[in-house]
Amino acid sequence: MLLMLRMCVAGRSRRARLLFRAQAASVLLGSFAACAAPVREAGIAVPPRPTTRPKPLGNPTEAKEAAAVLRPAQPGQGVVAFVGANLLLGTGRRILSGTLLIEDGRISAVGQDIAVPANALVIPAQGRYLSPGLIDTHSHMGVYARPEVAAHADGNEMTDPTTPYVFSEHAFWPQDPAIDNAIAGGVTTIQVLPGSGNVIGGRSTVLKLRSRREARAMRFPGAPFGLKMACGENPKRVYGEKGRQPMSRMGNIFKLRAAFFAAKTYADQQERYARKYRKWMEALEAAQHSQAEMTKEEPSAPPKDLGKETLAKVLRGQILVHIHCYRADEMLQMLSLADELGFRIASFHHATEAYKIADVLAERRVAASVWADWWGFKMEAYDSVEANAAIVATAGGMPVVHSDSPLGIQRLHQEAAKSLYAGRRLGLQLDEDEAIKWITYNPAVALGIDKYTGTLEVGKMGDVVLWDRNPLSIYAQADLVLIDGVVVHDRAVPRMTKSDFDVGTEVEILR
Amino acid sequence: MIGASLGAIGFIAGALAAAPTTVAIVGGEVHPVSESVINNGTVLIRGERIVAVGANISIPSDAIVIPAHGRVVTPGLIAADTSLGLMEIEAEPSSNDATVAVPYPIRAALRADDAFDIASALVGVARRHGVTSVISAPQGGLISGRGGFFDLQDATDFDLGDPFRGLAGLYLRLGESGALAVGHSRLAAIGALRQFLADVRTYSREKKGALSSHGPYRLYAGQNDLVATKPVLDRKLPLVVEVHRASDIRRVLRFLRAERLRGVLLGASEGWLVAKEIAQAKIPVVVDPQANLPSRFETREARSDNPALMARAGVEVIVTARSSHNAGNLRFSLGNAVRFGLGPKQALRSATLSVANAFGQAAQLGSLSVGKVANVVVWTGDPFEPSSYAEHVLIRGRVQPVDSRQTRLANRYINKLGLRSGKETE
Repeated sequence: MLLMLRMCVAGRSRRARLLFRAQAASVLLGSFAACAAPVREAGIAVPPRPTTRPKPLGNPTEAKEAAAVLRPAQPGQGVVAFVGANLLLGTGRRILSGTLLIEDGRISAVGQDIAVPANALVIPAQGRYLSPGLIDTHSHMGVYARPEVAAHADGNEMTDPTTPYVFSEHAFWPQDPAIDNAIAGGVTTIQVLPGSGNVIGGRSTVLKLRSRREARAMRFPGAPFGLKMACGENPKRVYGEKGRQPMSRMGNIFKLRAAFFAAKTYADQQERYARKYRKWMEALEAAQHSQAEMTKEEPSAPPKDLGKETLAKVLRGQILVHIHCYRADEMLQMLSLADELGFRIASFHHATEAYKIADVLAERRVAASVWADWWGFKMEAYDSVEANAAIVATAGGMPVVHSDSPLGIQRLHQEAAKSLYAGRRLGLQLDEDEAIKWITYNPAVALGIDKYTGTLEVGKMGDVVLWDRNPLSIYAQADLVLIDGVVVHDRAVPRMTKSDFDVGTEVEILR
Repeated sequence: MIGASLGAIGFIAGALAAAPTTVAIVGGEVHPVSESVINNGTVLIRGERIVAVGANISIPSDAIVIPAHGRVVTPGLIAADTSLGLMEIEAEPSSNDATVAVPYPIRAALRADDAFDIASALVGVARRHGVTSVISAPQGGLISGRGGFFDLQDATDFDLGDPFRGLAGLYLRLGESGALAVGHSRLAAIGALRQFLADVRTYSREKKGALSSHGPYRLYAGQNDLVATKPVLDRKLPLVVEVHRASDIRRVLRFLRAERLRGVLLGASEGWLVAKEIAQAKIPVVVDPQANLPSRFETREARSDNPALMARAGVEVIVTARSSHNAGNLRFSLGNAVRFGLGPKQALRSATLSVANAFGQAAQLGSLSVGKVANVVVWTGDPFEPSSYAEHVLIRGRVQPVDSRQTRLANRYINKLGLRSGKETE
């Protein structure tokens, strides 16, 4: 809204009009229409030289938002020192009895011989374990909030099988009481996905579980958007039951190809326009410089399409692709499709049969976000094996243990343990530090945020969990959870965070 | 591959095929559940029964010895809240007999043993995690039907007889699920229940006369449903009541007392709020420690330590994983109950003797006691830890396979992709 106002006000001068058009070339048609009326001719023949070249803003929800509205959470101040902890680095290695410092919200030192600054808040952690904050690539918290009343079903826009124009963050309810339990389970970052009712479900968003005002204030800074896609039983069932397309796996793939073909045409058109516009701007600047008359007609912008805009960004690699896909043959089909259409897949989700194509997933560097053991709820989930993640890891791939559940998200560490030990029982040689990666580093890579979080390394965000024992034990509890160096969960302080929903209940201070 | 995976115990199983047999599980940390832990103990089994448990048991020369040094020996776990054997693929009606799609809400006549399939792929998955018996029940409706008690034995071992041990209870769904079945209201659901029980009484009293269309009675329920419910009124079969909200639980307790019924509560997410009353009523509770969210308004007060709080108040708690396909996750549910305050011994008891007790099999199962059926598990360590596993599973005295369709699939691809470098520990 603020953005729109700024644009409308800007319609007063020729220069401003140019700026406005440039922006309008990339914003919502709706916003354009709302602003079009007050734009007036300002009557200046030669505009002053623009100081900066107007840049397309992209979709408005990606534009800069006013901090005054969002109030994003600020990183912690000062120094926190975890002393004597077994540091599970998330890199596949560990440091026994080490020290980790977090300074102003970022990890500033990791090792065995680290001097602790005098002003540090010292947390004695001998015998305990420190890991990176856990990351869930697959959550519907906030978009399918508790309680599961009909009014909370906000994750599937099942009015059309392809809805690339919807954003999960527009439905996210930050007061979902499940979020507090996830934090207590050591989770610091989640990807909130639309559901799998559509072959293209919409944009996902990556959130840090800190500020609770609004999804955008919780956004993981620097994280790209994701696109949720789905193959297999869900879309064909949802639309088949309505007597609509897709009714079969054939229809699923057709819908996907058709959407991306159209998006490709659209993206090419946008690029042509951008080139033309750049040339025209250069001509305009040249004319202005030589005080000459500008004779060239300004190129007219092609119409905006919000859905194709999302897919065009996927084709340009700016949005990461996450595909709900169970069967091995369908994952291979999706890989071919991605090659044909020109995008990369960041992660398959559920990927029940990832173990059958572990070699391919490893070679293509596609993450497999899996459960340890969910199976049998539908046909495409029949061939599940507990060692799925372990097999993918042994083949050199990138398994991720995801939840898809507000219950499962509280025990990602246990789920990783289950798959690790199931693999070992089958004779796979994997160590515990590999399993730690499945819930820290690997999901960070899948979400495009491994530069910022996912390991205990200097420079990364201060997102850490202090466990009372080895987190792969069933009995492990998160004693402390920090996000950006700020304590968000302390087991000694019941219900440090709690949703508005829990206010007024008996468990308000207890759960 | 499966031959290789069973290598370690293959010959034991082979030897056992020639009945009658004696099996001695020797040297383990034995948890009889009914008594205190025996270090370096022996469990002696003859045929399908346990014949001796203790520290100084002499082992007959013809016994097949299962060494259990450094191992933990427990009764087989019993999964209390499943529809195992009644469904293969949940979403496929053709392979799912548990989700009953009839238009009437009272289905007391249904019984799980009419459809139970011991050859289901779910059996091996659960047994691999030390689950040797399940209670399996139909779902949906106000009265879903009767659940059965089943052993998860090797389907190919015909000498073991019928896996069905007996009826476990009549399932009544109250709260939101019952309301869903009748008029979307608890009022309608309880009204329908009252009417049904009145019909059962009239029928028990008047028999065929009650059914005559010329007589003074107008019965709403079918004759088979009436007959099926009679043992509940006679206290021969427990009424298993799914209920969550504290106020609903109170109502159920009053109802069970007034009707003088044997009851078991299922769910009881808010049970901790009325734990003392449940304990006083001596009603056992099947509870999932992992159900700690306000998933519905009736579970608004759910919390992780619900089992621990109820146990502390004296309630006989039965921990469940609330899953059919992953009934084997029972051991992890127990681990999580312990993680949130339940004593480990109490946890083990909850999934063995307490279940057997509540569902009418305590004379046969639930502890390592002389005379009971030998459903026994030898664990490599703490049964609740993912790093341990069930090394040997015995059902009715016979060593069971501990592979599953899942391990066969996994091995198929581990071999195909050439990924195995270590030794399979089976």
